[in-house]
Amino acid sequence: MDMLDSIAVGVVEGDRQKLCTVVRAALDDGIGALEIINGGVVVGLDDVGRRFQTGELFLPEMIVSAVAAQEAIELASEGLEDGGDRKKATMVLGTVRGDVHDIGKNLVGMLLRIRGIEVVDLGVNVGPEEFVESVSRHGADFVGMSALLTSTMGAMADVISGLSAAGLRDDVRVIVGGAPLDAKFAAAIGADAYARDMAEAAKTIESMLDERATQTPRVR
Amino acid sequence: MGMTARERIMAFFHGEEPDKIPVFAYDASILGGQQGGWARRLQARGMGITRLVPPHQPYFFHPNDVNPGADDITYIETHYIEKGLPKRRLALETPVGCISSVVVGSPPPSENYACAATEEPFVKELADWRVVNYVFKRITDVLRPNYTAQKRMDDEVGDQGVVVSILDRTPFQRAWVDLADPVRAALDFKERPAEIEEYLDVQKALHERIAEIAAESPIQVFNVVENLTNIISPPYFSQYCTPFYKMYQKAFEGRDAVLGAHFDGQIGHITKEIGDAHLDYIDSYTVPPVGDVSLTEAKRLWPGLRLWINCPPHLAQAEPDEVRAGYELIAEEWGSKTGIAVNHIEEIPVYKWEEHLSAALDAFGY
Repeated sequence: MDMLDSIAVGVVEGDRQKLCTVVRAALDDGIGALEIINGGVVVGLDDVGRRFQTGELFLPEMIVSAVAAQEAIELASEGLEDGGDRKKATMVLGTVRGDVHDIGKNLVGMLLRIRGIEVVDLGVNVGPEEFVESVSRHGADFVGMSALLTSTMGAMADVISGLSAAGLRDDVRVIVGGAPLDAKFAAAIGADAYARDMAEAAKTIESMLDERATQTPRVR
Repeated sequence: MGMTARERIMAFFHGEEPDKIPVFAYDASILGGQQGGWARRLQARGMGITRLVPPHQPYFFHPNDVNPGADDITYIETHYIEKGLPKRRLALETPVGCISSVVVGSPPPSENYACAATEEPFVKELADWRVVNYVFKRITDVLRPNYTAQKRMDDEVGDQGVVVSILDRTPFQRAWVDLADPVRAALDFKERPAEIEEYLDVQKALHERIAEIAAESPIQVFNVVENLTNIISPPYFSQYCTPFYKMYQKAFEGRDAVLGAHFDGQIGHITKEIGDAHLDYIDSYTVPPVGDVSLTEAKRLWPGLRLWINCPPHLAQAEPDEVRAGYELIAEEWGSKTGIAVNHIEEIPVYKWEEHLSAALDAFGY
């Protein structure tokens, strides 16, 4: 097993100490930081995502792997200018107005940051005007909205209307998530996608970015 | 003459056939202050109530009640408004250190149920577990029966419903729901530092004491308030939940007690483990599409396990006819009046409560 494979395995195992030891050894061997990240850490994270979706791994293991991956990336990036600037896109993320639950939102934010998405986390109880203003200010590519309550999920439609009214709707992809939601609801309010969990959110964004790279760009 | 609400609910808990599928709602948390209005109208039609009362005092149920009740622990609660949100800081000062938590409520005025979320958990770093462990050791020292209150409340509820004796969360659930955020809990349980080993020992001792007290409780129905969802993994369920359910089952041997747990979300990944736990019922069972185990599948997987179903969240905003049809489908899919009940727990906005519960009563022939 080469060092990059060992790093990928370390991410899957979620053993932070062991993973950092291998990353240090890889750096000492002259393997570049970006190669460590893209050829080791991200490969491991992809494997974790697959195992999560097939029911081989579960949320606690996924969280531990994500934290281990984050630490490995930070360690590998130490010597890089701008930390390696892995930024692929920007997402404005928040729990919609009336709702104060943020566990799912925070987990999604954590995983996206590791995958090179700059996350502007607006917190909880976020109104449409705040989403719109933030999308405009940060030139966001994605909007992520979360709601846990059936009584607050309707507020997601207000955000989408706000984006349309501000002329920003065509510039961003809107992804929604939260326990009471489903794809049908997402379609009904005019969102671009529904993500069931953090792994699906990451996968959805990756495929939207791939689409952007290969097709006429809708996402900036 | 039909059954009283109490008889109907107890038939459900004992796996016997009631005259109608029971429909009930939490008394204090949901109906508090509403008894003169829609709740009375629905109760007159046969809706029952459940009142949750712990078998012991003090009761550590974050974020609702965390006063440990020990002389050497100072408990300070501060209420304030920040950016329009009602917040509550809970601080515990102990001889081994201090911890605090911030709980945020829904923005007023709220049409939601009275929900709260943890903005800042008690455990922010590894060392905070030491303080947590001290608090729970002291709670165990001072824990005492709450039988008088349980008996009084059982009398108050009378034929209208049932008192449910609630039991504390098991260690992993408590770790991420009450004490730390899921990231901290997942990391610390994976790495098992000395602080977590001690936490597990302390929680075991606490539950042993609770089981001892619960065994003598005058109430028959027990419920572990797990709030369990897909944040737990199958191995963690087997390791950190099942042994505690077994502990309670052993404590209840020889008496007519019923033990269930509050699993209010997706549980499709732990169906085998739930079966192995041999609970009598699941509370807050969530039907698809929000939940991920159908009633048909539940019957096949867990013969004899009773399901206390939460009002289906996917129907929360539906029209009354659709809601009624939804309940009719539930009854049809289950195919029996035995082993199924509908309880309004949460998720349905305040202005929809009467409509929803009324539709359930209509669908079940009240």
